[in-house]
Amino acid sequence: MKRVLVSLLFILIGIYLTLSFFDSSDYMLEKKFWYLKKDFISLANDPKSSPEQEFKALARRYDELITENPDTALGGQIILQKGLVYSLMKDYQSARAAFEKILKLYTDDEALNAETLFQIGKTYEAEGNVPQAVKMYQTAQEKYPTTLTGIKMPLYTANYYERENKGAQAQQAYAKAVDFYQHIYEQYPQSRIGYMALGFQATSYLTQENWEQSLDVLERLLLDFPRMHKASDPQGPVLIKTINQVAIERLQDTDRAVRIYKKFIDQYPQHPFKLGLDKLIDKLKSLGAKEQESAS
Amino acid sequence: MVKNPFALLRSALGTISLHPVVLFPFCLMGFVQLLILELLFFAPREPLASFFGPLIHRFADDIYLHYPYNFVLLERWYSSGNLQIPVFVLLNSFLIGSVIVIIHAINEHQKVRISQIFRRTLGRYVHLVMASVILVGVLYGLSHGYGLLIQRAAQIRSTTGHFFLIKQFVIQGWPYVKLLISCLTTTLLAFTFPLIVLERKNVFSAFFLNFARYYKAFGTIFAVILLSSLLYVPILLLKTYRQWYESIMIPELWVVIPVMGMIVMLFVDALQVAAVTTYYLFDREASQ
Repeated sequence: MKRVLVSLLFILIGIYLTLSFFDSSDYMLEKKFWYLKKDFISLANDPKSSPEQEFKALARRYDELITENPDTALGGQIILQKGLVYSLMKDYQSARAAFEKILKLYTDDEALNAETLFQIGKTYEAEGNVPQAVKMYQTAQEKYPTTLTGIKMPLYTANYYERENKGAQAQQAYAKAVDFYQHIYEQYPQSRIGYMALGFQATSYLTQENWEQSLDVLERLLLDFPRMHKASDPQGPVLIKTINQVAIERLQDTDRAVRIYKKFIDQYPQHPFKLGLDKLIDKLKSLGAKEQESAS
Repeated sequence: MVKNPFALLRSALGTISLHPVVLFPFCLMGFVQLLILELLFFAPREPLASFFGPLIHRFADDIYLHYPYNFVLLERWYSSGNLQIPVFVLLNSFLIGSVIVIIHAINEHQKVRISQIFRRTLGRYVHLVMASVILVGVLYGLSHGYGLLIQRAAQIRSTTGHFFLIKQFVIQGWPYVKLLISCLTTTLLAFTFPLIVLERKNVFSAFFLNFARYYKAFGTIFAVILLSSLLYVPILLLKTYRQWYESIMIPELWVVIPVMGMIVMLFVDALQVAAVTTYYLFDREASQ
């Protein structure tokens, strides 16, 4: 019996050693990269109290990782992270040099390129160079509109103008953002990217306190993407809460919210939201009745 | 003596410590569990990634192919019923049957020969598998019933007061209720396995006799199963604070909790099988 147990133990150890030996993936590199990212986050949490040597040492470790693994698919991510270390050190020249290397070496990786352009823009932003920063954000948007970073850019640019107290430019940027998101939504109607575009369009209207338009978009967001709203997804309740806030608090039109929810239930009677929305409709109706009573 | 659950547990512990051979089938179960963990650990890495990569892409997300998210998937898939139920039905049922035969042999002062024990149990394999399927079915049915209760509780909108407390109790207490359901199911079918392997009854007769002969033992056996299962509560508590331990431990150590859980569960199973078999053998001797 003991012999069998020892043999089983050796089998487990043997499998472990064999699989480790034949492992040709980037797994170990990913692990090292993850630990370096952790170090980066702890530096980023309190950059002022960290000596410059620590930043330089971290950047060197990223360099070493690249040198040790010249052909890795993670190369672009590692350089991006190294650039972020320089940005944190406020050495924006070196940061941009690292970022531009990515744009030269990894031309096929759209998501990475969009993120890199965004980070270059942020270095200009930190230097107070508004036109150059906006140029980078626009390039990211135009070249890679359907990446997670690219699609965020129009709204980010408008917010940026607002933060810089450039009211007129911010208004223009919001208007452009709304058009851009409408265009993306029409181009990718039943996709996640279309859903995101509509979400950003709603946010653009909400930021501008354009309640009527924002409620129209929120309605489309609810009605056009039923499969995106799952019982487990926290976005669904947030969307309903926003519709309530805009319709009831801002527009003081409880009936409008009821109409939207009724339309949803009529179109998707089997949807997991049905039960909750039925209750909400009852609640809103009694709320509306009370309001009418107190008004009369 | 037989009606005292503590005495039964003491006797089971005594059997295990005096005759460690009882633990041999549980060591085999542990080996299989560790092998599964090892394969899942290497799943996102070559050469296994060629096989597991498309599965992870299809049933989870590509992110789980990368460090450290692979550990999240490892724990999720390892504890998934889709994996553990077939292992229990096809392998553990046979090994539990073997443990019962081993304890019987010890009780009869016979020499324990594992190969003979396995051969004898193999003859009852089909019935053991069917009994396990029934056990899993009952467990699934009761769990499903509680699942409906959770769904109802989730619809409670209150954020304070009695209804909120009920909601919290029903939802947060799920792991503990699951343990209780498992105890109840094990108790209900406790004597089916000994009847199949020792009396050579078919699964249906064993199922019938289990209720007809042993309904009076329900209280004692439930106490034995429940008391021994309490050993697993610290693991459940740890699992409740998963986010906390994941934030302070390095990802490699996240696996420690399921491994500890597996070891504790095997020990609890060993205690329960030994205690139930001891009760069964005493009762048989008394009635002869």
